[in-house]
Amino acid sequence: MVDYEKLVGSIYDCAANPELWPDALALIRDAVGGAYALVGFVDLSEMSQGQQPFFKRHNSVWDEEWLLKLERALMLIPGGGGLQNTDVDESWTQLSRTPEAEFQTSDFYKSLIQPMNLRDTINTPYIRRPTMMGMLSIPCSQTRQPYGDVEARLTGNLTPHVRRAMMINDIVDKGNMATMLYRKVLDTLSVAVFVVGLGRRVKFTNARGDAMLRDDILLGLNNQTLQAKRTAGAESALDDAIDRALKGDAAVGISGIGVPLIGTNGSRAAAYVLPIAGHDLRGEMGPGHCAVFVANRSEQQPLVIEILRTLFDLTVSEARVAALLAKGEKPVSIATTLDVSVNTIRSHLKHAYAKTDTADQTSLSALIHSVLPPIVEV
Amino acid sequence: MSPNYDTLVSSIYDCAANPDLWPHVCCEVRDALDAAFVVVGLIDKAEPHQRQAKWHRRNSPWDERWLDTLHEMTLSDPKQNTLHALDTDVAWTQLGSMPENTFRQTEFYKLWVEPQKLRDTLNIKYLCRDMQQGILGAYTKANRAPIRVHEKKLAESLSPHIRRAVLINDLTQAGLQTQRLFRHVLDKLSVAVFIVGNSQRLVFTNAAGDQMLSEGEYLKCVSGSLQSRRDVGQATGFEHAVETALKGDTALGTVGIGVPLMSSTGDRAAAYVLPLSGHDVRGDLAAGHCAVFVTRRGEHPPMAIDTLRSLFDLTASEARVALLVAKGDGPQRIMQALGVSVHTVRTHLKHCFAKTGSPDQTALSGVINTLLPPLK
Repeated sequence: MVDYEKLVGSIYDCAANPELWPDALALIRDAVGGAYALVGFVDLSEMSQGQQPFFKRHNSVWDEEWLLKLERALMLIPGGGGLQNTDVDESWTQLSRTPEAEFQTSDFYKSLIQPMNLRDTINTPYIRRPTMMGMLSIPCSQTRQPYGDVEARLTGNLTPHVRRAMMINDIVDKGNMATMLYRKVLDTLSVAVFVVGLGRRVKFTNARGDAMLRDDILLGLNNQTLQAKRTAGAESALDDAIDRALKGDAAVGISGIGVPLIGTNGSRAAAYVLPIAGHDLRGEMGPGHCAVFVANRSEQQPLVIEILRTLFDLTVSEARVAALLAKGEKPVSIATTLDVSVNTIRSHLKHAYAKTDTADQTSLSALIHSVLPPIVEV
Repeated sequence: MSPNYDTLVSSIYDCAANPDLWPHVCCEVRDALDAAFVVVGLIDKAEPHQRQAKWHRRNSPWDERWLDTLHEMTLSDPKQNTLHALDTDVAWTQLGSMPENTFRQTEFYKLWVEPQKLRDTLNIKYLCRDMQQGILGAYTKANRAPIRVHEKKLAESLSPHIRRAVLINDLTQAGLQTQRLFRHVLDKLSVAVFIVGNSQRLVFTNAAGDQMLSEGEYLKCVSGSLQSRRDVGQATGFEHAVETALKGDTALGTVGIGVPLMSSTGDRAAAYVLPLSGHDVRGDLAAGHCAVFVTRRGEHPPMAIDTLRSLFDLTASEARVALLVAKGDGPQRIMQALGVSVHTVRTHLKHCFAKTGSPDQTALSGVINTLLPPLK
């Protein structure tokens, strides 16, 4: 007999780490005396949209191909209709519903149960809602007696714990899900983002930030702390800015502290250091965190053409000229690049001014920069 | 085994999801152990900047003034050493560790136990890791027998569950912390960010997005879903782009790039719709999500003059001129804004060109604009 306390404990281990279900289910299988144990979850909500019901299951080691076949044959279970009316934490056993002789004549028995030398099955719902059902299901082998009250009591005691473990896991998962979505958004930004915590240690880097550290031109990591390769100001300007922001220095203000960076190749960029720990964060977690944003002049985005066309109805040629202009090119060099006359370029520009309500090259260029999203090219 | 063991265990794990329920668990354990009150304590030394250990306490109702002195009392008590030496999940009782007569002569008894009409104590260490120790304490009344063996056993069987519940909660809290940090970062962006889930449901809005929604221009949130303002006669390109992105269509192509949005006054903003679904977002349970970025023609975020000066060795006046150029102003406007002559502006500009390596105003504007952070 498996120690009941251990059994319960192993179920809750899965609340934090669902990958442990096979272990917990192996313990349950042995305690009940089954061939395998499975917790399965059917979500019928997407059936209304014409999709297959969604199955999710965890099980102790068993033939996975056979289990897939079983999923598709659920509707064929003799007496299975009663399963849907079984209360949560109550047990349904195959052979108490259908006499064994009758059960053995069913297709379900012949195609699935018999080939695996199985006999009875005990099913105990742990969750039942209009569109979803979760069940603990434990078939037994032909060599043992059909299930009785002892097993029904045991599974009925265990399913509340299974339910609670699943719910805790849902809460953990929902949090993880939100965190992951935020991270993905941060990864789409063209600006490098570093979240820095206690001791100036980098806690998070977005994709652009990773690339910046890999390049090792503007910023590097030393002992998990962010290091400026060179600054145009004091050598410790970045460290000082981060320290001030970590302290939540009110003087840092909303716009943060700008730190001019000079790359090892002479390129220039500005790092912006902002405190991000509001009161809600600092109270619980000691000193605050800060974010370092680095915008770098080498980032040019050919999205411009699409944007100008959709926003201002520019033609492709006009948009192309405007995009090159925003990159800093002059009409003469644009003419060379596009292999057209300077006059053509000037006429494109004139149309672009009119459509965007701008007066000249400088204001058109500024407009383009203001509508560019800070995201990397997709 | 106590008949309500399963209920007790269930209550303990409810605290994994909601730590506010610990006092409730303390009551249940108190009743199961026939105690006067029960304390679930955690001694936390995790914060290096704190010199003193932090003592968190959850308990069943009892005079809080007495409980406030408990930690100090136990620290001054000689038995503290015994407590430290306790093995995890092994129950220790006061009267099991020394004769009652001896105990009654201790200061702890006279100052703390006797005045409250208490008698025996059960302590069990449910958690012991580097910087944290967790102890469950049950205090019995003077009018009952000392703690019995089966009560010790019950406490010992609950201890691993308390540990697990605390650890699960830690995990959840750590996740929440990261989530909040990310949200704070997104709130700093000047671009409006929306995360949209199934059925165009708005899942997240950053601060700039909130601002945009409250202005009611370009986009609105109708019964939880993000919509463009169709009342101003615009096409449904936005809705189409979002739907396509939600399907996780990798062939979204340029549909999501620069979708025009119109305001009631005819101003335009550009929306960028990006699918966020990927392998790690459980495509199975959570159908796709997408991110919507909205930029509009507007004021630039100001760049600190000082930052610009030190980046390119500009003088304050040159930096001021350069920032106006980046905003789109020509020499005439700059002249008016700064109250200087065209000649002066031209001179400043010439220096700016030389120092930033730009041949002209447009190039200078490009250089400065790419250095501007997309921040509020």
